[in-house]
Amino acid sequence: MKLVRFDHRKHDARSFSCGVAELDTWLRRYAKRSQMDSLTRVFVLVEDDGAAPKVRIVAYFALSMSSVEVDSLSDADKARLPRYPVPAVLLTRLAVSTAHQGQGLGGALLYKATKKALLANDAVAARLFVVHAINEGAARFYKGYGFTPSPGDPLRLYIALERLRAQLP
Amino acid sequence: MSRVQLRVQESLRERLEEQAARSGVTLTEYVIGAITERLRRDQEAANRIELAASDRNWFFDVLDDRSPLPDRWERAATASAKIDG
Repeated sequence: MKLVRFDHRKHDARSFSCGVAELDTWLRRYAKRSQMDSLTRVFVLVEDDGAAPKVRIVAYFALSMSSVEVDSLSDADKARLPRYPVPAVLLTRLAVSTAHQGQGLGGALLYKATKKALLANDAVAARLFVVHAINEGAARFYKGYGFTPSPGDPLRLYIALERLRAQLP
Repeated sequence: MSRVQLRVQESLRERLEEQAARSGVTLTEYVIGAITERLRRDQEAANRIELAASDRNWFFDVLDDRSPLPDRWERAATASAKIDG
């Protein structure tokens, strides 16, 4: 299998189904535009069967740059953050097709996405890797990898990029 | 190009036309300019995360956390090695 940048001319977004309508619809309808507008970079995992006019998508994830701001920080707190708001890499979506779930691809793709976040972080400053979990099950998945849910939004989970950089296998 | 139709009160239409004329653009250009600006702001806001002041201690803990990563990253790394790219 190959992980490549999403190309709507080559990749069959219409047949992708992960069991969560919102994630399927986004790939079919909005991924192309979002990528063209440079709002996200979308990566697809594909299995090239050679015969089909378009390559079937096994899984995908989308990355953006983001920033995190805490309401009403004191001056003392701001002194702890030389760059404020705090820049972050955001994993906006990660989905595996129903036919390929249960094979460890979610973890493999999270690893790939994290590596890409760290690579971007070599050139662009960021302190956090943030994920949007689509539901509680997805949030549990990310928690299993050490991400911490925010108290105000348990479907948004955070981890320090420096922690990942220092320890990722 | 595709057509988008809007239904608005006559009084609003007059106000929009008047302001468009003052700005030296057509009504269509004026409305599209406003919509595009709103779209840009909304898209930027979608990726900007704001935390409540009550989350500040939690936030600093996450930034400073250097505890060992869970073992499942090892399995994820092994699985990812089978993927090209």
